[in-house]
Amino acid sequence: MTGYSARYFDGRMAAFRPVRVHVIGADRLQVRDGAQNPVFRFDEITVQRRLGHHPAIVELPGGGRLEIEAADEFHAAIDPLVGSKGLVFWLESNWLTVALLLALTAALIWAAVNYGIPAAARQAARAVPVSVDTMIGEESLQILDSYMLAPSELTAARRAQLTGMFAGIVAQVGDKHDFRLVFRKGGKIGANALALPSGVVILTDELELLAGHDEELAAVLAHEVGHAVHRHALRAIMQNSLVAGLMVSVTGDVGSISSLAAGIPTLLAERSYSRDFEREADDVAYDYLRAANIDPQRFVDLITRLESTQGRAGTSNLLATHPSAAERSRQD
Amino acid sequence: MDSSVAQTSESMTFSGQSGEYFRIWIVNVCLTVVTLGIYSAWAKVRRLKYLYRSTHLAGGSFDYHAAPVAILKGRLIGLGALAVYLISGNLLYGIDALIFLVILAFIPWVLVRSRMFNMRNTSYQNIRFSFKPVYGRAYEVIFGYGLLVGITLGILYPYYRYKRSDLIVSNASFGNLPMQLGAISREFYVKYLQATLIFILIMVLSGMLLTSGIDFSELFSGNEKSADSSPGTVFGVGLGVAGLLLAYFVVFSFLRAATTKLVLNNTTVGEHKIQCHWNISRVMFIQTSNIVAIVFSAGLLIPWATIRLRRYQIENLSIAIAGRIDEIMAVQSAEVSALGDELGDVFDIDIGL
Repeated sequence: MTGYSARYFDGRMAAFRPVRVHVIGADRLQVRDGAQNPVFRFDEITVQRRLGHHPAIVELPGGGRLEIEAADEFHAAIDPLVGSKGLVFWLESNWLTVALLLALTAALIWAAVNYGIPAAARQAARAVPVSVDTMIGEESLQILDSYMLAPSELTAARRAQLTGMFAGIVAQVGDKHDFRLVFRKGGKIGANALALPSGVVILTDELELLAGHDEELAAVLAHEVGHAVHRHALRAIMQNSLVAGLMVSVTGDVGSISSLAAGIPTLLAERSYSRDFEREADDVAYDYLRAANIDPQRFVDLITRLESTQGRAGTSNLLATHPSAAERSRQD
Repeated sequence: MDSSVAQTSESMTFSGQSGEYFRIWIVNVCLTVVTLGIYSAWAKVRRLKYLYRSTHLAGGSFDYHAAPVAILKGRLIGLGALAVYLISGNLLYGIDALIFLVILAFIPWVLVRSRMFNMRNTSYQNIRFSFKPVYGRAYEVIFGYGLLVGITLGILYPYYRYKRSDLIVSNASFGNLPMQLGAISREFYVKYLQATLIFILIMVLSGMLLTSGIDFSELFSGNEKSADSSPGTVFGVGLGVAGLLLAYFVVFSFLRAATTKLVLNNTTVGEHKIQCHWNISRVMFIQTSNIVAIVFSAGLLIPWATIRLRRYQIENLSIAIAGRIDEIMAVQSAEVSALGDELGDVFDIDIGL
């Protein structure tokens, strides 16, 4: 058997001695150091897996270590004898497999973000009882009232009218959530409708004023009910956490500054999820309108009104969380 | 230091190659994704083995010896704690704050354990580093001095950072050579002062840009219905926020590089001295251009960026060896303590210096 020149580190001093390493038979290694020439059985030693262009490394019992410069030849000789397949090294050592793995990784990540993670969140959300939704949303109304919203100025009669309409919507497309319609003056949030996970739907005076017809309001309220029914708040939390986790584990070992870069794909994924949720809520709105024999155009009308007051035209759709009116009208 | 003893300065070299590391990195990422993250522990070990074995000094190299299973255990525990914290907050109001405090209370302990684990699994010429189990001192520094920082409204912060660096350097050893950090609290203050000046400069420049009278609403035409020039205001605010973020980033990267250089330059290993020749602007430039490259390459240039930064950092380090070059050879392996590898490093805290 051929010998390989190597450095021998005894593990007690940071010094090395030049030696020659010989593979004896099919199960032993001899270190010829010109003195004791010890022999080791393969089951006593650890041959480190091949890595890059570095010397081959053999760990000896008692803390000693061999570094063999001719890594390729040594591994070719010893790997089959110690049963090391060198699979990972083989994958790393040729550009074709690397390119294939890169494509596979990209495909897996894309599939995870677009299908796997949303599917997992949808399933998991089904297992979570509705009472949890209530807990998520509990504090929100108080916070909104403290910082942003003011009491509504709608008349009691008008409120009763809208509440009645809301009850009809809930009867048609609602579920086990404890749905309640509340009225507020929007102030900073202007013409808007919000759904809290608990089932509370907030309608601002400004939106009531903006609407050209009560059927437009019915469409928006049905959309908001859709958010609660489909557990969007819960699913958003789950999906965003999973995406963030995915990005961190992919870019993880880079160092804290570079992980800033991981935030960008996470943000894009979150916005994409947001748009999907909006589409799902839109579907609920259209379902209700169809069942109540209301022209679906009512919904588009209100969205158009909203966009024209908030100057949405021209904003890049990629960064927007809500699909544009043009997209939404293409729904039906 | 006895000036009659001859000192040879040995430069460190780095033989890592971008192409090679890229291939290792891709396989790591792919296997990690395919195994839903389990392989990440093996990936970390492989990555660090490659980087350490590419680091050379006086003809010898470093190496990393951690068992991937220990790292996996540590990561799972970290994930478990995180999950408990996140879920508890949604179940019972206030309990997440309690859990946060409990986790906080463990931090000094985890810091020491991580340091012990990582040093014990790092070697040069097959001699391991080590770290003393100074749990008490860790609590003293992090909670004691940490509290004082709060009380003094942040004035004591640079001193706290110095004490932290002192904790992690002065309790480490290489073989039987103890490591020691010099008394450099004053120099820490100088660095933080410089960082503050940089921050103020950037904020002033951003402020000047904001109030220079540029009417941002001109940039958003065709929107006469708008009551207020909200897009213009939003852009202006956005620019202000961008300026703030830029300031934080520049200051953060300056401090990281400057304090690391300061600590390295004042660290001794036995009678030998570490010498750090980094040009701080160059390090900051490399880090910034790395991020730009990473963003525009959708992450594919991460391995290139890693090698590039590491090569600069290592090839501008040298060791002043007291005595002849043979001196560094006579380092003996210290007694191995019974503690060590069971838990790996929980939370994977990257301490840096």
